[in-house]
Amino acid sequence: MLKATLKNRLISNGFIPARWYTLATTVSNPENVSIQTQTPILNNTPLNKDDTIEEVLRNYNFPKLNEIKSEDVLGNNRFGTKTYFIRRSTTGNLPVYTDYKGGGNKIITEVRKIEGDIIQLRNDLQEKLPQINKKNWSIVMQSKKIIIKGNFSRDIKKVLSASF
Amino acid sequence: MVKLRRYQSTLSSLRLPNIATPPKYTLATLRAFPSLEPLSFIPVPTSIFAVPLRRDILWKAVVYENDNRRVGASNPPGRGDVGYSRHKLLRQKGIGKARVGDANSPIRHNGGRALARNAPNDYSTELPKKMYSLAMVTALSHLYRKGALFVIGENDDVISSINKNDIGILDIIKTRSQEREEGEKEEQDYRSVMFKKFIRENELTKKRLLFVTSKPRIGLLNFTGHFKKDVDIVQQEGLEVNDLLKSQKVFLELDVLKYLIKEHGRFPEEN
Amino acid sequence: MLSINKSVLLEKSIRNGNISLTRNFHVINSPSLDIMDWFKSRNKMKGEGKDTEGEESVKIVNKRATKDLIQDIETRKDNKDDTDDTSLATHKLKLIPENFIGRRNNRKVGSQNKRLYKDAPFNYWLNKTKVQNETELEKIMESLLNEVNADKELMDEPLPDLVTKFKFVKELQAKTGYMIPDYQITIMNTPAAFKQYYIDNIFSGKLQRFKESEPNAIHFENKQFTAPNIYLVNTVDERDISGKMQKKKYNKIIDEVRKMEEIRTKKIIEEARTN
Repeated sequence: MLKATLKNRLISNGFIPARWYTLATTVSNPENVSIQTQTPILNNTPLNKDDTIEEVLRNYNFPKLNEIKSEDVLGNNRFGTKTYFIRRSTTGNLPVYTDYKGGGNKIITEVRKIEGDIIQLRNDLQEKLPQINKKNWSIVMQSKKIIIKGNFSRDIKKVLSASF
Repeated sequence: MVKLRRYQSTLSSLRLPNIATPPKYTLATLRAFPSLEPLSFIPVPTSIFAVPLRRDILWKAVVYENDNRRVGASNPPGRGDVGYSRHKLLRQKGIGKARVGDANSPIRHNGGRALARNAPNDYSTELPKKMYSLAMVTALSHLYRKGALFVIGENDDVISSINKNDIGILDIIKTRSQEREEGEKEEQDYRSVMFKKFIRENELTKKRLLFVTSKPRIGLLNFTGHFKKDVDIVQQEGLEVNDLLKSQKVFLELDVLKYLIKEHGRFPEEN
Repeated sequence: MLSINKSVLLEKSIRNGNISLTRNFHVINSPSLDIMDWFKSRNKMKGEGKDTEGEESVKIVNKRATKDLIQDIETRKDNKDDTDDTSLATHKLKLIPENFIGRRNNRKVGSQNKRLYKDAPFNYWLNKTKVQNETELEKIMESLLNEVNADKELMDEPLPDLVTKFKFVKELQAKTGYMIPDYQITIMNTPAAFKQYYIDNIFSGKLQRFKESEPNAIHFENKQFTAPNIYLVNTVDERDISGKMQKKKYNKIIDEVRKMEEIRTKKIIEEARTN
């Protein structure tokens, strides 16, 4: 059941890993070209019988202007000021990792794939996780990561899984 | 022993307050060549044109490209190649100076190089593909933000139709003279001045330009000879981060943009 | 260029490997030719028996021993006005454009090119007269909004969909004569935002001052600093004067000072004399 909910959440977020594509035929017999995918981008491409699967996959088509919502366009959203977003990984998991540095002496938890206001995210996470000392939190601005001293991956994943 | 478990509150109270979905697209204008007249907007994914600037990743890609570009021709003569004889120059003992063997020795200024390299030398390094793709996309985003990126192309659904004096690809072709229908005037060949006109009218004189084409455009190659110092023409497969960073204005064809998106784009929506 | 055959040009380009499909290709129609090509072409023409026009080659008619030559010179047998038969006949090269290496017959070709450039068809979509101030811009915006059947009140409301936005932005660019970068277009949603962009960047002179090599340059103005202990040197207004003009002015001042000094020293000397 957990897998089903995960899959549903992924599909609602728009993540479809490559291994979920099923191809009806291979390149060797290109006559019956039919691709069953759930990706919106490939559904846009016109399928010609002469094209091989590789060619269809190769041609990226831009979505039409009528089909785009205004919130999706940069500048309309007000995203980035006091708002944030965390993307899941390609396999559909939360981007929370542990690392053992300094020969195993220094254990850290790392939150990656953060977009938007990272400082606001840190503040909100600190509120939701009061058991972690505020001194342990640090931010790497260049690569936009939150690093916490100690192994708190479970706690963070609990908070993030409720949101993303 | 009963293990006390601290139950956290319900999922809804754990939810972070300031979540928002990031934008998916930015707009680029599709233009005609050589007038650069806008024909339409194209929605380009933010993962291509709105990537935050990462100078360190750009640096890595540039260093990688420069390393791979090295020819490795350094081939100085070692002590075997210098060519002096093996004759011992001075007596071993009794001179009062340091001991001396043959004249090839690397200690001597006219001797061979110690541990000399042998051409061809390979200085190429590796960089993870995803990192290189990110660098390429970062460079494109930087140019887009500067206002130095122009996409030239023609779609099926352009909003304003293309002018008769323009084309939708980066090429200089023979256009028919306007008076052809009326009289028997000869077809004038304006190709030799078209590029100069393009540069002057768009205020691009003495600027370093980059043209990225999807196929070899012979017209463009032939008639830009006068500007070869400032104009670089590259095919999509040979585009490097160095080229993007060195140029002041970059002109891409629509097919080139599609190719780059396929090669270097990472779509969270798709994969 | 001179009377060199086209075949020479082609040969040279093939030899130099200019027709290639590697990177950095610049195939040019007129590869740079040097002195050797000129000589080779002349030899070719001579071989083909063509008459080299406009030049009289250096001829030494009779090969004589140096001793005799010296004798002639010593006895002063200058044969300036004689014809080709004389012993010391040397004809000078005429100084006409045809006989110069590396110099094109610029006059005719130049004027032809100018006319070709003028006549070449080009799509001028941007207005040649650029917008100068805010009032003109407001007029243009009003007319644009009227076309879209919108009122002036909609200046602050976002443009409804992307197609109307495109049409608005394109007409705005065409009528004002200035191109707006794509990123700015994406970010700005209301006509008021576009107006503000024009005021901030174009009417303030920012775009004119922009230098590619210094994209983050800061320009100070005297208006910004009112405190009496702050002096601005080399401000924007001063810098807008070209270096040439600055030098001229400076030299003029120096000249005047020098003259005044001269007069003063003269006076002092005279006074010293009289006293």
